[in-house]
Amino acid sequence: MFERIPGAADFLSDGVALVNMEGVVLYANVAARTLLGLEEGGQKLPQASPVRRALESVRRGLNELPKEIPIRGVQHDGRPMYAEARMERLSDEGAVIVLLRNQTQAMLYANLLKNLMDMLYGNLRLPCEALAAAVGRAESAMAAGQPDLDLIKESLARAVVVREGCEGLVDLAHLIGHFPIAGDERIPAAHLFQLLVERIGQVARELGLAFQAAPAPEGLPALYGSTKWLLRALEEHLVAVLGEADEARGLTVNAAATPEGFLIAFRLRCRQRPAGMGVGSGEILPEAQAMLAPELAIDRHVLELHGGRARLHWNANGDCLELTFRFALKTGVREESALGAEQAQRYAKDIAQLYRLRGLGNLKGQEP
Amino acid sequence: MKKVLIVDDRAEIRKLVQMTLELGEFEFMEAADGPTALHLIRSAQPDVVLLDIMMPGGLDGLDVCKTVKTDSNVRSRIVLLTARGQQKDIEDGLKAGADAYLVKPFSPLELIDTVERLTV
Repeated sequence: MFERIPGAADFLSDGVALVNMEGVVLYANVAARTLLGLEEGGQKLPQASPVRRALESVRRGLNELPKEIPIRGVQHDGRPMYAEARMERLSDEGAVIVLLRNQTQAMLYANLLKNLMDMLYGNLRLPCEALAAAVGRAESAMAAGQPDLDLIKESLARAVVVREGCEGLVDLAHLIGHFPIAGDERIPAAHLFQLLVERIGQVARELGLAFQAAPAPEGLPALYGSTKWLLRALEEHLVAVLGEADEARGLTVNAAATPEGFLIAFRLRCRQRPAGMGVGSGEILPEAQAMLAPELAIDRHVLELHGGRARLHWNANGDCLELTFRFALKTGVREESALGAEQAQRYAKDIAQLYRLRGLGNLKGQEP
Repeated sequence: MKKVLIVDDRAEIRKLVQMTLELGEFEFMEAADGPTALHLIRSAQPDVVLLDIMMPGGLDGLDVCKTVKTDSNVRSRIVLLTARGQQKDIEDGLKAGADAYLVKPFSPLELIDTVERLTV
């Protein structure tokens, strides 16, 4: 059992490592050794390793253990990779799990765009065969282990070219230019947030809604993962309010980023409750729908496209009633897309458990 | 030697599961979709089937599980190994006749323990 799981973890493309607070590597699979810069037979993290620096900082009481540490300058087959250490302190023994995830920039780039498209198109179910084909080509390239950035860009450009034939398709052409594709720069989350705001605003306008984008929130961490990471980052810092539109008609539109996707809520202040609508919440009623349609230019068809997730909420609010309905623009990303890193984390935890059971590694910090 | 059939449309998961169980006394078979899995179960009679639910090919894991469990000629034990981890998913899986239900990301220790328990 003891040899079996660490042996299997060698197969994982994500790094799995167990490191004590002294920076001594108790276990590291093949990927982790590469990403951590461990020499053959090396048992201690290099002095310059950001993981080791973080551990030392914690030991001196200067900082809490960071959850994530970006690792720069990693190369794989001549391509720059994004890598990070995810740290987790084992509760009572002072050891940390280090999990390193890596993606080539091309894979990251393709995944990011795919997630964006999933979110904007898959959820709205707008027809776009060309875009789907472009995503398919990008995925094939990734599956073949040869993510070709030029191919992906070309595919996306073609998809954009046929924009006229795709109702509701948002032009992604200028989006491509915003993503760094060389070097080891990361996309500022605030920057990407702004782009997403613009995209969502554009979709909203196509639905007949007015959006006024608020400034991107400050202090967001650098983004070095997929949109899922962005969404998590946003959620941690604040609920992002995109803007308030058409105040004159008493209409406000809010969008919040959540781990599952974007939640967009429309609120309409009404002096009179629509017939048949009680206080509280419920499914959309025909009477309310009839009232909403001319105001919001959103008809039943659009709501039904969202799988009935839209709901109405009545709340007493002073002299008027608020009618709010909301729907989620889910990312459409299969949970399995994040499975690799999570699976590696499970291996790391079980390996740590095995080490503890064997009494090896002196997890409290001494040399093994 | 006990036979284990690993059914998952993702090759890397099949490989990972096999490598995790490799030091045990097992003979491994693989399938990437439901129809192939069903064929192998009937022809090779594996002792344990590790079965993903969401798969291409017309038959998903639950379909395969139900079919196998109503076939009196098959005695394979079924472990559903899936990313679907809601309570209702688990209930549906056990209702379909699964002998065990593991959620991805799976614990390798739990996987080994489950397979060894079912092959005793």
